[in-house]
Amino acid sequence: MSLTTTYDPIPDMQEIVRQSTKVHVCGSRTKSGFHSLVEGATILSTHSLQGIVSYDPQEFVVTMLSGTQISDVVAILAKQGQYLPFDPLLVNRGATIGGTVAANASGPGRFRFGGIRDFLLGVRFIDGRGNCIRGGGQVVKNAAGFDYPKLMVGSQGALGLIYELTFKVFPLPESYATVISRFSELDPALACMHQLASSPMDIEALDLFPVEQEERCYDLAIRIGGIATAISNRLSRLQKIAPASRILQDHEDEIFWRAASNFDWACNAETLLKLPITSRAIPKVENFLTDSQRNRRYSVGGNVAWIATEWTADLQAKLGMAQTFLGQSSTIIRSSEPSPFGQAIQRALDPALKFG
Amino acid sequence: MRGSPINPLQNNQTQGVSQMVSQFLSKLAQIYPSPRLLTHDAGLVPYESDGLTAFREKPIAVVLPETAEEVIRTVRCCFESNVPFVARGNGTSLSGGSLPVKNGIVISMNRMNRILRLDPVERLAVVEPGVINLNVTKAAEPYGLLYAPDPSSQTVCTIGGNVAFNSGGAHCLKYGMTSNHVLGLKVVLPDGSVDQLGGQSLESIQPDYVGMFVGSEGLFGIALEITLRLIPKPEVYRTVMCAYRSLKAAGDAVSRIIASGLLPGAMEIMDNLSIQAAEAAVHPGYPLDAAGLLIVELEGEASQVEAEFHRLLPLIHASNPYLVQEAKDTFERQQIWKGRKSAFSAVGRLSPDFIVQDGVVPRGRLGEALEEIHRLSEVHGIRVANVFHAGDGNLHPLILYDGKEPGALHRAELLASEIIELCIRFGGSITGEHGVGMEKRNYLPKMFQPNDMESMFQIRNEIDPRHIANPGKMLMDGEAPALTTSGLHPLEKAGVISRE
Repeated sequence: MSLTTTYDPIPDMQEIVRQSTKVHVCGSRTKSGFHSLVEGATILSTHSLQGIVSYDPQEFVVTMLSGTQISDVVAILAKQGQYLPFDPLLVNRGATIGGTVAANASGPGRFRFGGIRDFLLGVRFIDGRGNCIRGGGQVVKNAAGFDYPKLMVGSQGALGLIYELTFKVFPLPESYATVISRFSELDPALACMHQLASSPMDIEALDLFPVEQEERCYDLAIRIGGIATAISNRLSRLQKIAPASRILQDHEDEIFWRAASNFDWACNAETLLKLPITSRAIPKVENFLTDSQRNRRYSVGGNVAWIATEWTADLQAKLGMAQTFLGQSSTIIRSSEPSPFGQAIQRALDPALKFG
Repeated sequence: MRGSPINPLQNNQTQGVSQMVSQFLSKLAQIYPSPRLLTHDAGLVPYESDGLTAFREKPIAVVLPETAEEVIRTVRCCFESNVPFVARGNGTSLSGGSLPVKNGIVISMNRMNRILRLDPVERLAVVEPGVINLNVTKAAEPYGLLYAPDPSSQTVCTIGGNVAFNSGGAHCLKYGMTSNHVLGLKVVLPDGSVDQLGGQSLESIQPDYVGMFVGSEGLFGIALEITLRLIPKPEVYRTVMCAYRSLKAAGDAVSRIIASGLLPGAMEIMDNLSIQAAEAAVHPGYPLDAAGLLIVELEGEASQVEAEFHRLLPLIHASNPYLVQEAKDTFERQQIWKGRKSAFSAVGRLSPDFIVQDGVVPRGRLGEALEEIHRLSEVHGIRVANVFHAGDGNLHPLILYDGKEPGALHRAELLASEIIELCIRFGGSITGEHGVGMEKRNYLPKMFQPNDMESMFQIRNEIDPRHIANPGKMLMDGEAPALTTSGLHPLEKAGVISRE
């Protein structure tokens, strides 16, 4: 399957990078937290970079231009019974694949097989000199050269303009089901989460969140997927560890997780923060948030906290490393100082700091 | 941009050199007590070469640090004196990655072999670089966890080396390579500065510096502390071995399995020469008359795997094998894998010398690639054994020759280079898991464009402006030591390690 465009915008984009002092890359702007515009920056949109470059289901490999909307990709893969196992976020809000990589936006389903970093095989980008650089490859296994694809994950547009991406894809589970288990306290909920995460049960997603209107109660959402005939057996087994207050199947299951990865629960908040954590940090974060009305969700088995909040200046001190994912640029919480390693890479790829 | 900065120890004035060497060595002596600072020939010889025995180079010294602090001081000392260094684990690199650099030192990491922390709740292990790969899984096993990357040398190879070369194994299609299992790194950069990359979470809000560091083949410095991700041990395995009258039929079976939507943990194919050799060496019970042997392994939660197995069997039978044998218990499963994992060293025993490659082709072109390798083997009159990770298109042709026969090495190298070029032509990679190292550095510029190469040099120059961190590996800019012989690694001869 191949879709080729007649006009190649890349040479023009290279020229724009060469002639600009500051460049700001954007896709469809679904992640508003990343849009702190520098005055005088040239805005380069990936809008013209759309389409699947190549897709061979037999190889489990798909290559696409960075401005391609993920919803289109998901549909094309689904026709072949395949999917992006890192579970991209904000798909129904129009997220592009380039923005998803730059923002490192993996969803709850990354729990099973891994995040964007684990599925991105190859990348082409325009560096700060205006050169086109290719890194990685188009096969599922490759150890040649520096791993530029991984470097681009979470690069936030600061290392160059990503224009083409190659991913490993997997067969889509033919059936899903979700157990929602309710706990009246945090500790047993965490204990149950830990037990499940270490068990040999193959779990697709494992999210914990406070129950609205019911103080101190938490729901643990556990998703499994696979061959349809095995699901009911697996559900009964799962419930021995996590008694179900609700079981979601088919459409209901799909709607529940789609809402989670589109942040339907947080869309009215001023800011949505992303905190990479480990599950041990959850009580601490909860302690800080208990008396507030801030909505939050601990996703990927407690590896990431999403906090919908109004902006307060003491958040950074209290929460440590956090990133404004959705919200206004004035409320950006800076991550830690760039490392010597990161600075060296920035100097190499973008010596004039056009992107950085 | 690409020229090497001058290494003072490469100065031609002999007297000046020996003075500089002794000054440098006396600096090292301030860090290490004499038993851990090797400078005499007898102590240096074991470090002259690694798993790629074709190359040899004697370092001016070998140091044996026991703490991260000692490594940091050593690197700073090298930086101040402009002396190149290479960190080395157990020297199992098959691409010459840990080969000493001329007029440089070897920093041997073996003594830094502590598992600093194992956290079963967060499912991670913090280890020093000298920890042996299999020991991580051994430590994790009591908690029902394992460390997924399983290179065939896993009983000997170290995590530090795995990190430097992004090592693979038999389960990469489903689980990825080393890089996919490293969460955090404490590293010393070539200028002696220390950096913490990544952390303990699966998620991050920075560019993936950990991913960039892993697989950089020692060019970015040395990992001092490595945080690894552990995964729950699969509940059950279903392993099946199928014998075919042709290699192509085995390859077609893999295509059927992939097309069906199943995701096996491993799919391996061996050709007749490899089957014969493995059977002779470890008696796994392989059918000796098979032209192609396919091993498929499903793994995971019991009822799911059971359902998958019911789908797998008809697919296999439809692919026309003349023998299908399922492992009935753990022992039988281990036997099947023992044969597979010993295949290379077993084939190696058939020949005084050999060259092994690990190029990758798109899986759909495996059959074509094997036919082409077979044709090249006949054209050159050189035997080639094939064992490969069929699930991810990772070939491992083993090119057999006798170094004592005039011109044989040259012909074998010619064949090897034609196979690498075939992988590039087919849209694959020159290396799936062994890394570029010394061996394939001439081919990296064939796989990438000049701009891509230039960018890699720019990154290396910024991170290592003095070109002292494992120079000459991956990126061509140093002097290449002379090729001598190739063949079994001494540890392979002793039956201690085996290859992918």
